[in-house]
Amino acid sequence: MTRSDDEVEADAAMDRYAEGDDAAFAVVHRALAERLRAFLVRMAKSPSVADDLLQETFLRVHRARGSFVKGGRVVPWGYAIARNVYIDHTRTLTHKREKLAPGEDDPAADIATGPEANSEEASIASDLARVVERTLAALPRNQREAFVLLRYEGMSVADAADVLGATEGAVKLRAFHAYEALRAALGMENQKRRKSA
Amino acid sequence: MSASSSSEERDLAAMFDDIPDPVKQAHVPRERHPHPPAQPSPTRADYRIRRTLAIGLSVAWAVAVLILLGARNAIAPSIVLFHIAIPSAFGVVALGLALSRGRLGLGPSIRNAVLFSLVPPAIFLVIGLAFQAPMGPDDQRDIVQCGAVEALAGLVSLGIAAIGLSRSQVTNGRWRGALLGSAIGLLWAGLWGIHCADSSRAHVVLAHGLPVLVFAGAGGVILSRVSRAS
Repeated sequence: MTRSDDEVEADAAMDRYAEGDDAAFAVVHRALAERLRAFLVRMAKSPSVADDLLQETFLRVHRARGSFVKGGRVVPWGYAIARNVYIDHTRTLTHKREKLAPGEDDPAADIATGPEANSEEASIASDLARVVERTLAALPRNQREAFVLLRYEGMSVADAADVLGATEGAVKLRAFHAYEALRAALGMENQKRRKSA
Repeated sequence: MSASSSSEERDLAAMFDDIPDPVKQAHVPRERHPHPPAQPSPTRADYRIRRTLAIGLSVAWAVAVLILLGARNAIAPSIVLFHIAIPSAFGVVALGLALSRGRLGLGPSIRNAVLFSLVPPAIFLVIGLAFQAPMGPDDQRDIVQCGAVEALAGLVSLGIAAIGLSRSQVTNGRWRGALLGSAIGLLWAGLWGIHCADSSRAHVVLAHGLPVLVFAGAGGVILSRVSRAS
């Protein structure tokens, strides 16, 4: 994966932050916040939970800053920490999994609601997004995270493997299983739609 | 990355494009000047000092044990190679890999960590089984006692490593811990080759080789817990 100028700047800022320069935190925060929040929303499926987890992630980034290796890449490092935060969250909350309430906390409701989308397209897109979201949530964590990193976070297989602590083959296989489950779910949704039309 | 794997990756990405994204855009309220959390946290210099101290203490401990227990009288060149140089070289390579930054700064890949946690100890055990070194009549030692002393001495090194590496890695902790445990075990096996005069197959495999596997397991359990940074 080639690094953008922003990533190079963020890596340099993280290097400074690891050496004790607190002012560099703002650059690191800017580079990571949106990406990690998107990742956490996709994993936790709730924006409000993701916000809490994001805050916890930055707390851990701060605590672990000294362990950031000189010349390392801050984005995968941040994803690895966010993933740990999410895993800890699921471990403590397995008995009371939060249910998504429709409305502003529903990430699927955000999709295809631009002014140019007509109501039918918006409804179809929203339904499909809900199917994807439900199916993703039902997948085993290791399949979900592999798929999310490759499909939505735009990571290479090698980078995702390093973040997840898995082999490249395992990451591909997990993502492919997730893809098959999502394709099957979307196929069923389309069939249902055709029957009702 | 090879050309075939990158084209395979492009195919995979093209295939995954079929799946819509349920999250349109993650909006994070932009803070103009986000501040780091107020609590103090160790910087890279603190980690450097701790790691250097841990390496220094481990070396001092190994030298102290060797001086205290003494070296064997005569060491044949074949013993130097098979019972000292090979496990020590494996140990140095495994240690270097365990402490390496890796491609992205996240440490060694899991494939390398698994490979170097298991293969060098296995090779050392095979060498121990295959190679019968010349032995004098007074060189026989008790297997349990020798193995236990080696394991106890190595446990101190493992403890020092645990302190030196605490809260230092964010991913792949179990196998990285096993790799470090394996490295410590192999280095101690090499050191034990200098100290212990018993070069019989059974003794080398059970008293010098088995502790390496124990260290790899202990590293995977203990070091993975204490070294997790987040």
